Parts: sequence; C-alpha cells; structure tokens
Amino acid sequence: MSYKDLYNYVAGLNEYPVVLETRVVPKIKELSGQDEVYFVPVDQLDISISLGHIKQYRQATGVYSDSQWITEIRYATNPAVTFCWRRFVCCKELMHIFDSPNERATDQAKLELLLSELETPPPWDKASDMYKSETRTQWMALGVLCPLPLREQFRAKLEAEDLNKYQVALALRIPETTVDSLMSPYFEGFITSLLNGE
Amino acid sequence: MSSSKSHIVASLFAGSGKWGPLGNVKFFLGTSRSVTGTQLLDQLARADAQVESGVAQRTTKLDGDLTVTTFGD
Repeated sequence: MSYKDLYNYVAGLNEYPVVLETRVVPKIKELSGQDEVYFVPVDQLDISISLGHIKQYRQATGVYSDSQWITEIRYATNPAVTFCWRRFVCCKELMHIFDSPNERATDQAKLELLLSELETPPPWDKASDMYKSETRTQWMALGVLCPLPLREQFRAKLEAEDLNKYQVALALRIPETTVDSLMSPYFEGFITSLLNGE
Repeated sequence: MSSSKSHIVASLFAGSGKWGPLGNVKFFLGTSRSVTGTQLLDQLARADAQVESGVAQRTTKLDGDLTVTTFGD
C-alpha cells in the first residue's frame, strides 16, 4: 500500500476537480485492502472542536466469516463548512488510511498520547509519529486534490493573472485558504519527499 | 488523563455493540485553537451515537454532481 501509487494514479488522470467518491476512494480500497470506506455526514459535530474524523474498526460479518476492516470518514454537515472544505477534510482523513503502524492510534496508550498532544501541542522533535501524521496528511490531501502537473497549469495561470486564487480554488473545489500552500515553494518538496517515502 | 477519560478510551479498543475493536482514529481539528481530549472524545461519541441510531447514514457519496474538466479542454 503506497501513497505514491495513489498519487501517480490521480496525476495520470489529467482531470480536475479530482473526484473523491469515484476516483480516490476506489483506488484507495484497491491499494489498501480496506473492505469498506464510507462517508458519514454528522449534524451534531461542534466545528469549533473538530470538522471531522476518521474511525477505522473491525466489524464481524457473520458467525463463521472473517471480520472486515471498516473505514468511516465522519464530517460535520454544519453549513458553515463549505463544500470545498468538506472535500478537503474528508480527503485529509482518507489519507490516514496510509498511516504506518507507528502513526496509527491502535491502543489505549497511543490514543491517550495523541489526545494529549492535540490538547497541548508538543515541540515538533518531541511529537509522536501519530501527531506528525496529522500535518503530513494535509499535504498528502493537497497532492491528491491537485497533483504537480495540475498545479503547474494553475500556477502558470495565476502568475499570468488569467486566474485569481478564488478561481483556482473553485476549479479544483478546494478551500481558497489552501491555495497559498499549494502554490508555495515548499509544496513540490513535500510531495517529492512523500513520493520518495521520506 | 482522568480515569473517566481513560475508561472511555479503553472501551473503544474493547469494542462493543456495533463497533468492533478500533484500528485507528484521527481528528481534523476545528476552528478553536484550544481543544481538550475530552471534547474530541465527545465528538467521536456523538458521531457513534448518530450512526448507531440511524440518524447519520453511511454513504459512498460525497462530491455531488461535479463537472470534470480534462487538461486542454
């Protein structure tokens, strides 16, 4: 299972906006062996606390059959969360399917540590791999929603002032506030390091 | 971490009812710069309750009717 495989697939589509339900999720299921991946709109999430979360768990399918891995991406339906933000939140949470064993909250002690780090962010060099994955998956999501070949097309149009940031965000169906990160000089380096497995 | 919070976290990994043992959970933090672990667990519990009661439905749909453009169009 590799983010690189997903990224190369999406980059090869040569299309935008990248559609999560028909392009990204089926490929992730193929690559990851996740049995089921669902989105779950939830109207009782407090968006001051969280815009969404991923929950992965095993579910028995019958007395004599193996259990399945279920992934649920729960997101807030609060109208203050725009369609583009909803897509970004869900894409970021989907990227946690690629979490390495160290990055997964797989037991009580690890989840308690992650919760304490989210409550009181630690210095980066002291942070757990779980906590660091929260940042890395945001870059991964941007890479999926706008892979480098697509980003070059839009960067050229931005520089030529053929499009403004809002128009880029609208075309890609991503939050306008993520366009600066997407166009930053760091973006290419992050994606390259992710593809190299660093 | 308080004992009640630890108890909630422990129950997640034991699995109960609809939910099998937890394999991973991560959060997309909201607009507040200050959240507590208890608040995040509460968000998880709210979503669990909505799914269990059928108020929230699992779906494979998210993107609506997006019009896709191919490079060069």
